[in-house]
Amino acid sequence: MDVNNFYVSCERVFRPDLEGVPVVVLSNNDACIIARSQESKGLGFKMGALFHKVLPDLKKAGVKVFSSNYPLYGDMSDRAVSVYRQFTPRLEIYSIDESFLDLSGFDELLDLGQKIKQTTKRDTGLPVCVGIAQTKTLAKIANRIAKKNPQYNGVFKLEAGDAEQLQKIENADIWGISRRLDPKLQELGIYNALDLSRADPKKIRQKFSVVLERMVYELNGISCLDLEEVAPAKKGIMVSRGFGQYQDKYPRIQEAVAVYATRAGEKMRKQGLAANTLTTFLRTSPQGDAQTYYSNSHTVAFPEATNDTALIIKAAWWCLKKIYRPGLKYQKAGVFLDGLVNADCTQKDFFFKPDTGKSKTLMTVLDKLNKDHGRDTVRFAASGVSTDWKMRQRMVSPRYTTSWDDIKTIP
Amino acid sequence: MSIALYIGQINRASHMPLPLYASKVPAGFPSPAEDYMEGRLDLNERLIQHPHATFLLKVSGDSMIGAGIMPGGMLVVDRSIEPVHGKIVIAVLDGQLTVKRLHKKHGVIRLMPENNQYRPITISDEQDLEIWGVVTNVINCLE
Ligand SMILES: [Mg+2]
Repeated sequence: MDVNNFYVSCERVFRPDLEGVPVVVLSNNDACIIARSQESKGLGFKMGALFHKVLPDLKKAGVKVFSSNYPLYGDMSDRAVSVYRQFTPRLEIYSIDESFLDLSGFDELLDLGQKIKQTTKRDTGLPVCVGIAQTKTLAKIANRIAKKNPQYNGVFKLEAGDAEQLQKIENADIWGISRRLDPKLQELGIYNALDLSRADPKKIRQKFSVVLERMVYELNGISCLDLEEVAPAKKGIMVSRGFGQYQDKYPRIQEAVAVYATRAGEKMRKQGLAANTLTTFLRTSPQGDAQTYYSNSHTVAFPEATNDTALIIKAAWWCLKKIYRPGLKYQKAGVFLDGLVNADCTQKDFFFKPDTGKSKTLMTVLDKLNKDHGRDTVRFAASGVSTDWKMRQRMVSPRYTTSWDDIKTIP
Repeated sequence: MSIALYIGQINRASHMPLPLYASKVPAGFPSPAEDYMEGRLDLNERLIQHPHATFLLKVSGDSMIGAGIMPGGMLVVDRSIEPVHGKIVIAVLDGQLTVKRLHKKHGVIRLMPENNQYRPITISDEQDLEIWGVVTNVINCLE
């Protein structure tokens, strides 16, 4: 599942007058374009284009410009996932607007795909495309085909070995294959997904990596990437682990989630990133009785992009509280950070204010966690990293679904 | 699809498993609902059937006062309900949102106000009409 032009589509749900109008959405500090409507793409505006440079062109072309509104996008993402979950509880949220659904056991997959697409549009207002295939890699390609070819009405089912379709997919458009890798593949005479699917997996492994070898299998319909498995070139940051033994006590699950949140925060800081949205997942064992299988997630947006461990844990717990059901034995939880922005380069544009009022209780909990889990599992970022950023965000739309003051008024 | 239905029921609201939930739990499995059966009344439960498809909108005009929708009233709008004849709906007419009662008779679609100061709107062939959602409740603040 992939929402079309996600950020733009979120804005349009509450601004139906912008249907057919070119729209772009800017990054956190209004620095560059991070989402474009179909019309804006057609006008030649590029992803990542610096806003101040293209401003005259945007004005001339009558493009409607929005600052990013992550509270809205996070909530709309959560709603879309709730729709998918009605069809199957076995799903993986891959990014703020992409999910993988396990449809094994279902028939009439094209009809089902249409049903999911239509229900998502009806319930949330968001347009989605559905790519159906035997493996995650093929499903990503199928989704691309559905999106680029209107004749399929937003749903495409790709069979392994479909030479005609695979031939049209260039290397860099295959999930997990970087632009850097493309020339090296071309040297071997591999120009597209069909070529790669016909390559010798052993050779690919020797020349490149196990990851790429898996891609070859995946392109042939042999699933190597499980649902939830951390995939290559993942957009967001995910920390997810099974509990050693089934867990039903809320405080223990809270502790685990805090550890994952901390780890996710560390990963982010290491890469110089900050997140706009956070998702907490929780599920029981999929091996258990289908009737008692429970899997849920909740997504929230930070007021401003952050990589502060204290805030991340707070948000992760807030979500956990929403999805925890007493009396179930849980097997796995996870924390997923998305809407990532570059913390280093944006910081210059922010008023910097050291974080002063850290909750004492939280500190106590963290200290206890460190003690229980040994080593410095949980620690705050060096004081320079904790931030209270004020963003520019001059053209941000109302927080229609998360703020009482911002509810849309109609005449 | 019974599994999907089951999960949907759990998702219904943020924190109050319903008796229905308990009945779906197989025998021998400890009922998580029991402790919550006598929980305090929750307006969310009453006003919102499908949380993921429900949005709140505010009304500024008086064209629907006959239906109890006062200026300043807050509308609970459920997008998942089918907009059949007679429902009060949020319509998108030529790109603008409006609240009216939906009339579908003999192939003619009309948006009916509930205030005789306003005229019904008959949708012409050139006009672009989309139903955004169905209004299920209105909250009129008295203070
Ligand atoms: Mg998308």
